[in-house]
Amino acid sequence: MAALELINHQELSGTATTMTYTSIPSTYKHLYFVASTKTDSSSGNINMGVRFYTGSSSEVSSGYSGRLFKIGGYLGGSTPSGAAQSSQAQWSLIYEMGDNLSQPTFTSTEFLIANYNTSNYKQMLSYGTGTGNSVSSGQYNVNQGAHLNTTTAAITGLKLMSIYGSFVQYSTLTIYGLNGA
Amino acid sequence: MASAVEFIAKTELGSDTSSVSFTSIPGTYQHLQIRASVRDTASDYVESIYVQLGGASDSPVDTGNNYIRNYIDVDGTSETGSGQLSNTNIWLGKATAASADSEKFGGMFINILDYANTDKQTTVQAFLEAHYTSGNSARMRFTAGLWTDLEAVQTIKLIPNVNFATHSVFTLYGLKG
Repeated sequence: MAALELINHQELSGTATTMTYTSIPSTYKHLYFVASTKTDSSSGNINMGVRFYTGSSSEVSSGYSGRLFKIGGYLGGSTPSGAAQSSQAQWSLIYEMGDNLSQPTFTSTEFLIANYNTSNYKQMLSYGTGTGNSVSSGQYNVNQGAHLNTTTAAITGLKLMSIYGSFVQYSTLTIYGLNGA
Repeated sequence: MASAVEFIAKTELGSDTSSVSFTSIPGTYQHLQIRASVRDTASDYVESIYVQLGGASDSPVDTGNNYIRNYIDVDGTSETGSGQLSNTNIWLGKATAASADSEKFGGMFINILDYANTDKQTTVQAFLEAHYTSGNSARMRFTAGLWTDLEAVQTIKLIPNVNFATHSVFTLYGLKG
């Protein structure tokens, strides 16, 4: 059995506010997914979001919380800082490049949801990096997030959300399943 | 179901070496990942590691001022962030070097998403860590790097401050999409 298997890959041929996949099998141990994204928002660096689905496409839209460590981003500055959120409609302490520089620079973000199909609370790790042709505030980001939702049902789908503006053409989302004993 | 990750190449050094390159990388994968265990022969506890990329028009990598880097450094007691424009490489961070215990090697991973997409500049996402004394001192760097070129990546060149030490290991994987 392969340790890592492709579940789904999508690349946008135009703008879209979300990238969604709702047929994740329950046969894996963990979920690993990577996204190369940019929004058409005029802001330099802004939040994107992740929601998950349970059962037969039941979208979970509450109870998301998280902690963040970052530099750059919409809040600016090169001094690392932290942030926290609770009771959100999605995991949103995740940053991506906006379109204020009109450059083809996308943010790379990797995610891990361990034990996605057990009755445990759902936790996600995220690591995102993006930079435009500037080191000014709002034109780059390095961010690591720890995310929690107390839902105990198995995850059957994922939605990547552009909270401000739309994902631009060529944004991609690739979802993998990790096998385990 | 077929594996979504494929081994492309591995280099394990039998002697100290001034650089390690992966060449002729096929454009058939969606993403690239590098996993490495690295040590520099420079006479310090930690020393810098860099990367340069190349496409079809480069010979074999782009050595111009076409790289940008932003990063967070964590040394166990403080965190700092910084970045630089117009570099000749992406500074990935500092690996364990010659003044550290001889058994210590730093761990490094690099993600290059959509490396063959010629509509995107190439983002290099990296993490590098190094323990550098016999105690618990360590350094970590989280890097956002950019190669401001639209060519598909065909060559990756990793460069130490002096030499990569014997037994450093570099493995390149391709992820399907």
